[in-house]
Amino acid sequence: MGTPPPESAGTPRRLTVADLLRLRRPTTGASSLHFPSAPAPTSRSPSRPRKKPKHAATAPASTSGTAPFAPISYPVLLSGTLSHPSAAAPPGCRDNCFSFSDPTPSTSVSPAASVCCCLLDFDPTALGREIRVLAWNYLPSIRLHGAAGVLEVVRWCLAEEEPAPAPERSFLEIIPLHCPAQNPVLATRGCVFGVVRSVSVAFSVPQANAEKKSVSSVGFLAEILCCGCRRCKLSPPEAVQDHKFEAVKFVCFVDSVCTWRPLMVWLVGRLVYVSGLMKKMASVAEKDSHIMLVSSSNTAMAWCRSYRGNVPLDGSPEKCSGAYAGVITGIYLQGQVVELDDTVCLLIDDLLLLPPHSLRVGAVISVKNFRAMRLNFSWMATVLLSTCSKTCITVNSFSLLDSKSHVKSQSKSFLGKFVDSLEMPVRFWMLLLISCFNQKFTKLFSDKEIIGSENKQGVIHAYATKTLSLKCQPQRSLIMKFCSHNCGSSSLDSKLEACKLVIPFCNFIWKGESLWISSVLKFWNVPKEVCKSQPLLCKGFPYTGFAKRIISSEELDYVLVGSIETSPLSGRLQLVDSTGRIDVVIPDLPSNGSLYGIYEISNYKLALEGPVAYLDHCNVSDSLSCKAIFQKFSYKKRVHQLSIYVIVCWRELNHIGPSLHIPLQINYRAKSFHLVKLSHIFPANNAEHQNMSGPILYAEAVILPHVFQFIGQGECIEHAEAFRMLHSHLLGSSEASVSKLCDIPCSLSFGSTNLCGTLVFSNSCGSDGTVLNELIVCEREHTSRILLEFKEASFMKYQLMRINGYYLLQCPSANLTCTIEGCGCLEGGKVSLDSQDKIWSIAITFYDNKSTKGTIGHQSVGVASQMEEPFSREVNRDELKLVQSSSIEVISVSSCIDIMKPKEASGFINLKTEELVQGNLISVHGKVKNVHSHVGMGGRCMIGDEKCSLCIHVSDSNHTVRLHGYVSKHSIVGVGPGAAVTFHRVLLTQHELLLTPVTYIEVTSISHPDLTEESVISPLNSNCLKGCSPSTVSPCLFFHQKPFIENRPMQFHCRVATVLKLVLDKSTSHGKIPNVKVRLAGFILDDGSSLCCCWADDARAELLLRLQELAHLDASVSLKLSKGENSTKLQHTIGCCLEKMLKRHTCVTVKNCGIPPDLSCQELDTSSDLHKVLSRFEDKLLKFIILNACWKGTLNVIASAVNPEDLNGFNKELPDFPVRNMNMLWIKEVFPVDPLEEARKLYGILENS
Amino acid sequence: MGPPLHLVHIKILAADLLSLTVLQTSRPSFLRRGRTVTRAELVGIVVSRDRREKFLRFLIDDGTGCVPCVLWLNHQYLNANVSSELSASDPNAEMALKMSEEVCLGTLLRVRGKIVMYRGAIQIAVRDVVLEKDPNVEVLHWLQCVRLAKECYDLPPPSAPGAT
Repeated sequence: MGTPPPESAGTPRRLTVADLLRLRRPTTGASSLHFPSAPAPTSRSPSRPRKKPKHAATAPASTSGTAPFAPISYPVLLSGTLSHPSAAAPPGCRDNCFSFSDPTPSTSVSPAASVCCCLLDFDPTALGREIRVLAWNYLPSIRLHGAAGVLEVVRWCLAEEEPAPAPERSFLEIIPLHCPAQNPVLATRGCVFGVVRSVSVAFSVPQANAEKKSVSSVGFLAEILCCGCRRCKLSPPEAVQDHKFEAVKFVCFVDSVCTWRPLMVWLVGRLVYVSGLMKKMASVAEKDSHIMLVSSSNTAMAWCRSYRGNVPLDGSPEKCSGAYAGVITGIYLQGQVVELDDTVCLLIDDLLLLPPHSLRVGAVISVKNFRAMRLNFSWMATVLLSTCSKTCITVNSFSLLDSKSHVKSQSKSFLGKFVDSLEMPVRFWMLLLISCFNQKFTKLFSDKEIIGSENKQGVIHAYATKTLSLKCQPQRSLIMKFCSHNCGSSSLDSKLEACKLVIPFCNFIWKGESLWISSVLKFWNVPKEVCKSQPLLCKGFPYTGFAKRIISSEELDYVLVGSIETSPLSGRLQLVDSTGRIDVVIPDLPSNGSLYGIYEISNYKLALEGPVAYLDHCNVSDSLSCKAIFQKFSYKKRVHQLSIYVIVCWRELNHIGPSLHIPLQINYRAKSFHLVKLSHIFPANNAEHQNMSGPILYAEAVILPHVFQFIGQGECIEHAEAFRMLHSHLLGSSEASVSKLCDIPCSLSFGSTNLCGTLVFSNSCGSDGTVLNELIVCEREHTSRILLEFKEASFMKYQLMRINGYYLLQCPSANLTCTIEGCGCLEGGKVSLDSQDKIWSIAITFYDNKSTKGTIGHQSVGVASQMEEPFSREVNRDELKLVQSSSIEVISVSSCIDIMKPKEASGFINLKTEELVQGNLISVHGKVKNVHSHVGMGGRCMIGDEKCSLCIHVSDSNHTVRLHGYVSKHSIVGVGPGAAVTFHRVLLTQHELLLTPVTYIEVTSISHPDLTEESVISPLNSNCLKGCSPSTVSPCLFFHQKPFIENRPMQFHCRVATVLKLVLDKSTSHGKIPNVKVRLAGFILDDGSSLCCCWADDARAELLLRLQELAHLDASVSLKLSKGENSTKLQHTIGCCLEKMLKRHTCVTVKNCGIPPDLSCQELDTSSDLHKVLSRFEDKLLKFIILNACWKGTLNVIASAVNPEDLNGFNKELPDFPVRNMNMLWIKEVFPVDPLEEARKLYGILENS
Repeated sequence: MGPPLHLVHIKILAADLLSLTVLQTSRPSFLRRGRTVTRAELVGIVVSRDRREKFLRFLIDDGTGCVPCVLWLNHQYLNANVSSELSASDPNAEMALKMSEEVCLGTLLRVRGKIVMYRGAIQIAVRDVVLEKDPNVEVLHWLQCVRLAKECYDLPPPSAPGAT
C-alpha cells in the first residue's frame, strides 16, 4: 500500500479504465513524475494528454515479439474499484486476476469498463473498494490474443482512508466478500480454521447429486491444515497460540465463490477462518474417499494478519511442496517452460494451470507447491520444477523488459495428448524434442509432416514412440490428484537413458567447435613453453600442423536427425536441417540408395580437423543448455579452417521422416547403353559452375568401344536374361572375324540386377584371364573423352562416381552404334544427366573370382580401425583391360620421387620467373603426414577464404613429398594426418607437386590419431623436404668419406659428444620464442664410427642444444634469471633463461677449451659483446646448456660438407687436437629418430648388403 | 681400413664388450679385433642398482650379457680445492645426480662411458645415461651394432692389412 501522491508533483490527470482500454500498446503510468530538467508537464496544453493515447493507438502494434512499454510522460491517476473477477471471465483471468473497474455511475445502464488486474502488495481490505493506482503497467488486450487487457498495479492506495485505523485490530479480519446470512442453516455450519497449504487449479467439479447431474460447475479445492480442537469447532478462534495446525482438510469452492481463487492463492501460507461450509463425502477413487467441505452461499472468510507461521512442508518430494522465487530469464514453447535465474526450469504444461498474465521475462515470481527434481540427461543436467494441480504462481515484481505475453495454445493435437500422458522427466525431454524438431524442420517440411495433425502422427510423435516405447496412460481425476497427491515415481531415471538430444545442427557445430577449442587450449595450456616453441618445420620454416580428433557418438549423447543432400557448393553429401549443415561421409553409399526424407543417426563418428593454432578463449557458451535448445541458437563461426564432418555407415541411417512421394523411376525399357570409364571427377567450383539452370557438377569419362546387348525378351533390361558385350569393331564385321571370337563367360551386376553373359573379344585371352588385345592402338583412336554434366536431380549419382569405375550410360536411341556422336547423347561434348536413372555403375565378375573394378559400392572412405570397411579395395592384378589404361594411373609417393629425381639432375629452373609451370598431370596416392597453411610462406587466401594455399605432406613407407597449391576448403575434408589419399590430376613439375583447380582429392581411408602431443609438436620432419628438391638422403657413417667427396647431403644418426663453440645473439625477429638466435654453434658429433665436427645455426642449433626443452635448472639459477617473477617453481625452457641473459649482454660467445670427446665444461671461455663480465649464474647456465646438449639420445642429422662462407670466420680458433684433423660438416636439418622406422630401414640395408 | 676407434663411443653388445681383449699394462687397454677401444655405448635394461654416497653401481642387461656400470657422484670431493659454494653448484655434479635418478630398476637406458677394469672385470665408468621410452631403440641398437661391426669396427686395422 502506498500513500497518495504529494500535491507538489503536479495535478495528475485522471484516467479511467475506459481510457486504458483505448490504449493499444504497452504503457506505463504513474501519478507522480519527477523531471529533473525536462520541461514541466504542467505546461502542456490540456488537450495533449488526451491525444497521447490516441497517437499511441495508431502506432503499429505487433502481435508477437516484444515491444517496449511506452511511458505516459505526464502524471496520471487511475482510480477504480477492485473486486473478484467475474465468473464469466476467461479461465486465465478468473484464476489469477482481480478485476479493476470504473466506479459504476448510478445513471449508466451499461456495465462499467473493467480490466484484469494484478496487484503487488495485495490486501484483502481493498476488495470491493475504490483504490487509487499510483504506478502501473498496462498490457492491452491485443497482446493477449483477444483476452482482456491486464493492468499491473505496482503501487496503490485506498481511495478513502479507513475511517478509524483501529488501534486494536481484531484477531481475524473479515474479508469483504458478500454478506453472509445472519442465521446460517444447519447444513452450512461447517467451518475451518487453519493455514492454507495449497490451492488447486480451477476445474469442472463433478456433481454426484441426482438433481444436479447434468450441471457441472467450476470450482477449486483448497488444502487447509486445520486445528482439530473442540473450541475451534464451536466458536471463531481468538488467538493463535493454543492451536496446532495438523489436520488436513479440503475445502471445495464452487459456483459463485469459484472466483475467490486469486484471493485464496494470495492466502497460501496464511491463517484463515472459513465458515458457512457444507460437509460432503467425495469419492475420489474406488477405494478412497474424503470428507470435503463445500462452499455455500453463506460461506464467509476471515484471515489473520498477525499470523507469521510457516506452512509445514510435506516431507516427501512427490507430495509437491516447496517454494521458489526467482527472476524469469526465459519463456519457451508458448509459456510451457519458464526458465528462472538461468538455472531452473519451471514446467507449466498442465492445461488447467494457467499462468498469470504477468509471467514475462524479467518478472520476479514465486512458485509454491511444486516437485523439484534434478534431471540428469546424458548431455546436460538441470533442475526441473514440475508444476501440478497444487501449484500456485504469484508475481512479486512486474517486468518492463518484455511485453510479450505467452499464452498456451488450447488446442490439443494428437502429439499434445501424447505429451500429457508421459511421466514428468520424459515429458520435459519430449518438450525439448518438439522444440528441436520445430527448429530443425519447420522450413524444410510441412507442419503436418513434423508435428502431425489431430489424428495423425507426425515425425516427432513417431520418433518419440519409437524411442520411449511408451503408451498413453489414463489420466486421473483432478480431485484424486489433488487430495491423494502423489506426483512422484521413482522408476523414471532409467528411462532417461534412452532420451538423447536430437541436436539442431547449429548447436552441434558449435559444440564441435567448442570441443576443438577445448582440446587445443588444453594443448597450449599444459606444458606451455614447450608447446609454443617446438614447431614442425617445412622447408626450414616452422608451421602449425593439422590435427584430427575423432569422437564417437557414444561419447556425445546426441542423435543426429536431418535430411541428406548434396551441396552444390562443395559437391559433398551433407546432413541438413534448418539451422545448419554438416558434411557427412557415408563409406558404403549404395548405388540405388535414395535419400529423401529425414534420417536419424545415432551411431556415428564426429571428425574434427584443423590446424592446432592458438585460439583465444573465445565465447564458449554452452550450446546444449535448455536455453540454447529451446531458443534458436545464434551461431557465429569461431574457428576458421576447422572441418567438422560426420562419418556414418549406410546401415546406421534410419529413415524416420516423411515417406518418399516420388518413387525412384527406373527406365527398365532402356535397351541401348554406352560403356564408359570414368577418368576424372571435377571438384565443385561454385564460382564457375553456377549458371541459370541451377548448380552443375562435372565428371569426365572415356567412351569405350564396346556395345551392350541384353539377351531376352525385347532385349531390354526388364526382361534381360543374359548379356553380351561386343567390341564395336565386331559390329558388322565379316563372318571370318567372328570365327576368331573369344567368349569369356562372366556375370554383370548393376543396381540390383545380376546377369550372366559373355564378353566377346576378337582375340585369344591369356591363361590368367588377361585379354591380350592387339587392337589397342585402334581403341585409342576410338576412345573419346566426354564430359558428364550432373544437374541437381542427379547429384546423388555424382556422389557415387569413382575414378576408373565402369558405367553404363543409357542411350535413348535403340541404334547400336558405338559412336556416341551418332546417337545424339552428346551435346557440345557433354552428356547431361538430369535424372537418377541415366547412368549405372557396373561390375563384371569372372567365374574364377577375378573381378574388374567398378562396383559403385567400392568406397573411398572408411574409418580404418573401428568401422568395418564395407568393401575391400584391393588392386586386381587380373584386371581386364577394356581399354589401354589411360593417364590416370595412380602412382605411389616413391615412384613420384623416382620420376622427379632424374629431372633434378638436369639443373634447377627458377620457378619465380614468369614462365608457365609445365609438367604432367599425375595421380599420386599416399598417406597424409600433415597439412598446413601456406599463407605465411608466400601463399594467400583467395575469394573470401573459400580457397586457401595449403601444403600437404604425403608419404609412403619410404619417402615424403610435398603438394601445395590453392585448395577449396571443401575439398580437404578428411585430408588430415593419417588419411590415405589419392590426389588425381596434380601437376608434377621438375621440383614439386602442385595442386591444380581440377585436382580431385579422393580420401581412401582416414585413421584417427587423436590430438596427441606427438602429432602436433614433435618436430617430425620428412627427410626429403630440404630445399626445394625432394631427394632421398641416404644414411651414412662419419667415417665414410663420401659426404666430403661427393659434396651432397647425407644423413647421420648421431649424438652430441660435446659443444665446441657457441655464438648466441638476441633475436631480431619479433615474436620468436625464445627470443634467442644461435648465430653459430660447433658440435662434436659421435655416430659410433667416428667423431665429426659439425656446425649449425638457428633452428638446427636450437634443436641440438635443446633450447626448447624444459630446463631442469636448479632453483638458484632460474631464480636469478627470472627475477621478480616469483617463479621459483615455474619451469622455464633453457631458451627462456638464455633470453634473459641475452637481454643483458646482447651477444655472448662461448668457446670450450676442453679436449673432446671428454665431457668437459670446466674450461669455458666466455665473452660478451658489451664486455660485461658474465655472472656466476650466467656462467653456470652456459655450462648447463653444454652438458644438457650432450645428455640427449640419438638424433638424425642431415649435413653436407661445410662451406667456408657459412662459418663467417668464426672457426678461426678451434681447439688443436683432435678437432683440427676432423672433417667438418654443415648441418642442414635435425630431426628425431623414429626407432621402428629406422630399424626397418637398417634391416633392409643389412639384408641386402 | 677402419678408422681409429679410441675417440668414439662404440656401439656394442654386452657379450662383445665383456669379451674384449684386455692388455694389462699400467693402464689397462682394450682391444677389439686388434684395435684399441676406450669408450662404449650400450642399450639395455637396469637389472640391479646399488646407490652409495659417492657412486651408483648398476647392471645393464641387453640380452647378451650384463655389464656393470658405475656412475660417480663424488664431484664435490674432486673439487675440494674450489670454494664450497661453487662446488655445490657444479653443473657436472647436478647432472650426475639427475642421471642417477633416471637409473631405476626395469628401465631401458642408453649408457655411454669409458671402458675400465675393476677388480679384474670390465665395467663402464658412465659418462651419461639417457632414459629410452621407445622399446624399439633396443632393436635399432642391435642392428646398428651389426652394421657398425660390419662396416667399421671389424674392418682390418690399419696396421694389419688383409687380416680378417
